[in-house]
Amino acid sequence: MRTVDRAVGAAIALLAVAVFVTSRAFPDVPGQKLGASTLPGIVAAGLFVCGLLLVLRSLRASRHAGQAAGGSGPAAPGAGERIAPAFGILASILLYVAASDAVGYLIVAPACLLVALRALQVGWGRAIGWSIVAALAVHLAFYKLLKVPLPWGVVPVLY
Amino acid sequence: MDPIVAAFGLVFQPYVLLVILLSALFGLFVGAIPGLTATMATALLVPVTFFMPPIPAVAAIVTATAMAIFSGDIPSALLRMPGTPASAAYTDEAYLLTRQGKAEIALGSGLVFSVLGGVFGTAVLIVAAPALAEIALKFSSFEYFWLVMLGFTCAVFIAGTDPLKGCVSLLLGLLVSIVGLENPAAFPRYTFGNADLTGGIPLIPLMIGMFAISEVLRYATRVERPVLGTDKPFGNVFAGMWGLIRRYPVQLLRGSALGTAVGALPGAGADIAAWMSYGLSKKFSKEPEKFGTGHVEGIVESGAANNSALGGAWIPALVFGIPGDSITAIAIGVLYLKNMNPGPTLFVDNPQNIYAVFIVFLLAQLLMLPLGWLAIKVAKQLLRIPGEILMPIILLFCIVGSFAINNTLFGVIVMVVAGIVAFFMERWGFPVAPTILGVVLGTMLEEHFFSSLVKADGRLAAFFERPIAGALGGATLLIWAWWLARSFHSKRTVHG
Repeated sequence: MRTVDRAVGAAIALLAVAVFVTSRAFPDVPGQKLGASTLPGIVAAGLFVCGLLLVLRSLRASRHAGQAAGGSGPAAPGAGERIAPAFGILASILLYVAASDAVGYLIVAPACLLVALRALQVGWGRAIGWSIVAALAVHLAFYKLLKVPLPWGVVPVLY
Repeated sequence: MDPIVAAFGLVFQPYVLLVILLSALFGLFVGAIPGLTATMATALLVPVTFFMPPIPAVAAIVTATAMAIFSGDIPSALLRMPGTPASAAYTDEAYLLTRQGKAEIALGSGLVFSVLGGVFGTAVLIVAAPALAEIALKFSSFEYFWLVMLGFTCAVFIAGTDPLKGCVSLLLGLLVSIVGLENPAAFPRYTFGNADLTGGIPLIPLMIGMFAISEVLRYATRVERPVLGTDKPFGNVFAGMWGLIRRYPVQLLRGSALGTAVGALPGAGADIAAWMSYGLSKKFSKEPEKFGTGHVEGIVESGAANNSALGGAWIPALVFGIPGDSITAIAIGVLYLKNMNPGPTLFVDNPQNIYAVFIVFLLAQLLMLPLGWLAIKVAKQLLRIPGEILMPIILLFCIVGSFAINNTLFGVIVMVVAGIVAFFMERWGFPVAPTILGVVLGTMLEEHFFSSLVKADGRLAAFFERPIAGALGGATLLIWAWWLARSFHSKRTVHG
């Protein structure tokens, strides 16, 4: 965790500098010395201090623990973790974002579900069945009952 | 018409009662499935409540969360996996009771003391909220500024285990709230020319991402699957409960009172209330050696605490618009969407709505007994629902729900980014609750800070000149000073 803290602390300090620099261009309220840059400036200062403190704390902890022990690695998947399914889940969301408008919910949503179900190692038969049933149920609930305009895309409007 | 009569009229309608019943079943289901939290239940409900009138929308959230906090006890007792973080404090105790063949005691005490704690929290909410609202009517921007600051301070220093990381989380939340046009100069900040960003980062997709998508990602990375602690059918879960009430009245009262108080603290919710109550129960117990061996005393106290915290969390949310926990942070977003803006004027302008919320709270607690009993009866079947099927369906629900808020894919993009960020925050030990508080209260902080400074002509001493503002400011600074002194002292001890 120490290595992670150091990296996150440094990234936060850099983000703070970027926020501070860019916020200087924000205008004040006419007739006041304050304006749109006040809160971003305060937040940037706070983030910078916290980022530095995180880095310093992790360095001090490393020194106390001794180099022999070393820092724990940054978020390497442990024995009780698998990382590939999470990418499958993210791919499924990105597929929806990229294709739903053009292709339509009724084609993309089952495809997304299929990707996610397969990523979680559900067998092909069950995955295909659940993808179709769940996507249709969600369509019925949101499109028909709640009147959410889910995109039809290339599919003709059915109901 | 009398507002109380009007409130009963608002609640006791077939549509509202049906919403309460369905959201109760939904809450029980979500809470009973390990990995699906009460906050996630709220986040998942929001896209549906979006299409409801205000009272059923609030009723759905109140009922679902109360049920979910209780039903989180079910997998605790049967799988040694807390259904919600609020049950984590006494999971080992409940599971050990089950292994000893006393699953009825573990589940029954979870249910009965959840109801009693919930009723206590509701009673405090009913008494305290209107009284506080009377006082809050006299508040100016100075008092609101300090209230928000005190809320941030509690979330970072009292609710969290690592104040530095809590501070980072809070500031990141404030940074998110900065985006958009809503600022004193009405200048588009960090919108990068994107029209969607001019309205700011949408709160509901952000919450769905932080509480539901992050959980789906966590499930996807987990390898181990739980095993049921018992195969025997359950007996009567209410047997012996009266005996427990007579044996542990102090624990029940202490847990309920502490839970309500912790719930009312911004940023601290049912989970922290349960941990603190469990610790207190052990400390003051006549049989502390029995804790950790399958002893019911800790379940009594912390089970009451986590449900009473729900009522407590609604006190600052309704009176000041300051969320007591992550659930009320989402609920506040819903209240704003429904033009039921929280604050003391709500108690004056629309008292029937407030009374309706109180009635819903009581109804939810009373419904918990029969529905909770039912949930326990079907618990083993519920726990056999495969997560690998459920999670992708929840994922699709989140996608469509985030889309539904503004009917744009922008909401889905916000959701997925927030989900990834929350996943890594949790992994690296950064608490999510202060971030939510920062996002929800950022605009309020800026507005009150700015108008206070303008009123005071830039004089900072004016922030302490009104008595309540001075007391709130003093309390805030005292907590900061206490933390700095403690950090300095512990550093000297380490080096000394």
